[in-house]
Amino acid sequence: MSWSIYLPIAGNSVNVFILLGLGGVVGFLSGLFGVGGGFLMTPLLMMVGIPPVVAAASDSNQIVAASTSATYAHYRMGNVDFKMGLLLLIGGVFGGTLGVQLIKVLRSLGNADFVIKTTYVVMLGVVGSYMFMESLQSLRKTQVETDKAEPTKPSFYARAIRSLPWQMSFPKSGVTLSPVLPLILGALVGILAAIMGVGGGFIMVPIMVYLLRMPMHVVVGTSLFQILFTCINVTVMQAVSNHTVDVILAVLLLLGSTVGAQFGARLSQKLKGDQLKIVLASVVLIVMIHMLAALTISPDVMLAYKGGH
Amino acid sequence: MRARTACLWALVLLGLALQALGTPSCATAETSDLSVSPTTLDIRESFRGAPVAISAEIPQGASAVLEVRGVAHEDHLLRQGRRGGLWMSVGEVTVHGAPSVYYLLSTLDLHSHSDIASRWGYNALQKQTEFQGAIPREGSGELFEQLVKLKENEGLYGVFPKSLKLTGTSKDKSTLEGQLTFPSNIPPGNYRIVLSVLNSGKLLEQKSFELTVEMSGLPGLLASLANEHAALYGLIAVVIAIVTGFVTGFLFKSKGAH
Repeated sequence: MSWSIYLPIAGNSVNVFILLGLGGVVGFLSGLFGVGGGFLMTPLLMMVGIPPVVAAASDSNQIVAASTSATYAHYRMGNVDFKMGLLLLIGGVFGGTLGVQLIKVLRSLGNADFVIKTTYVVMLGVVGSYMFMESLQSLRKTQVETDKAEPTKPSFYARAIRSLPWQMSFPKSGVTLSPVLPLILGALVGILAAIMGVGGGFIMVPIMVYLLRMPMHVVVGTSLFQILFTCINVTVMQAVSNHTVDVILAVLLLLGSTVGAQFGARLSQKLKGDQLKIVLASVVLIVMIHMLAALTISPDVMLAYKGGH
Repeated sequence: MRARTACLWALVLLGLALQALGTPSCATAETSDLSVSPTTLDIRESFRGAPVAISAEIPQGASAVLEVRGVAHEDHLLRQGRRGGLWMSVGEVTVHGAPSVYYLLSTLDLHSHSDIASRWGYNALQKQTEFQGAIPREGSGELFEQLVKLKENEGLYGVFPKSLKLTGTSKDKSTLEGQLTFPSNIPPGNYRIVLSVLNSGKLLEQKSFELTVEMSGLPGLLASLANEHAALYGLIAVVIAIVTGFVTGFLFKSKGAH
């Protein structure tokens, strides 16, 4: 018996178990780290014969399911800061709109791809390395050393964020800061996400950890909450503008990813913040190396279809 | 409008129920003495590509070339190039005149018949194809080669010399037979099949047939819903995703996950 199914919008037939498996793996990562997983899913779907534009659009649809499932799981664990998530989301929407205009300017100037790809590789490299080193150092520190550590003077950044107006308390995250900061940072991530064509989870998570000083477990849940709304918007826009959302493909992926997301969320609860950060940093660095390899190894075919992440 | 949408979704569910009953069209058509079977390819839920058998009667001693062409659309592609030592898209290329699908089958080895190779196959196709946009300095010849490579990788272009077989003779005629497997990613549409009969390099006659590839059942319904009711389709996709996400979350909770 054949387990292949024809995907009407993708215009190809794919094995059901491959799609369920891909969904499961990416959903697991999503639940574990609070990232959408588009960076991973789109190239994998292209490898099994899905056109890039359909892969990217249908992936957004499955991320809606995975992030609903994972946000719900994190919400039950008390890991979602809705107040912070909303501010980041508002900033993200403004940033995304601005980013779409900016990409048009970049394209008209030529070499936009060069700027985008090199920025992406450099940023992944810097973020991944910093996170990896920082988490490794934290893990090495013993409790005794921590206790002995003398209180240090607040850093310039800490003083700067304290000086911002309208200081507000975010009890779930355990921080007090101005709403201006998450709005600006959300907008920055929105701009970057629009330019790079990815959901932005990889950029948002380190920003929440290092710039908003949120605890890692709350970061994962809050990031997923934000990704959920971003992907709802993308799915509807892609369906209306480009007719590229394949419901059958998305349903098969989301059946796998929603289950995977639950296991990911449970594991994230069992791991320490630094352990989570170090695993995420490793994944970020692997993605960076993969992108760098794609940029340096000559492609098999010198023409490619437009679209995709 | 609401009733029409409700009907469409009722048909979607019906399509799912009838999935197992989907059967391919197996009619055979003959134009003059060119026979193509099946005449229509139905893309249903379990479609994984399908073979198409071709047969014809040709004069004894004659050879044949068979072309299958899809409709030519404007294609927008990205040309890859090296900038600062890194490979990336260096410009957009618009392709005109290249068929969506192209297969060539022949009785002869085209390498040893350059006169045939110049009139059929990729050489002939190159003359009909135009490129606009980011053309490399070397000209569009390289682009055409890359276009063929891209399409061959997808299984949508192919040249198969000696794949048409002469199986029998009666009186002064030979029976020509061949089989071509259409891949699972074949786009729906009409495909023109042209059989050219040759003798000593001279064209004796041409016979043609139009093969239809169409989506039916659930794939057909979903494709029409996606194109004709795009906003509703998008919203339904989101609702399915959110409901599935919640249901899975709830199931895990009820199993004592947390």
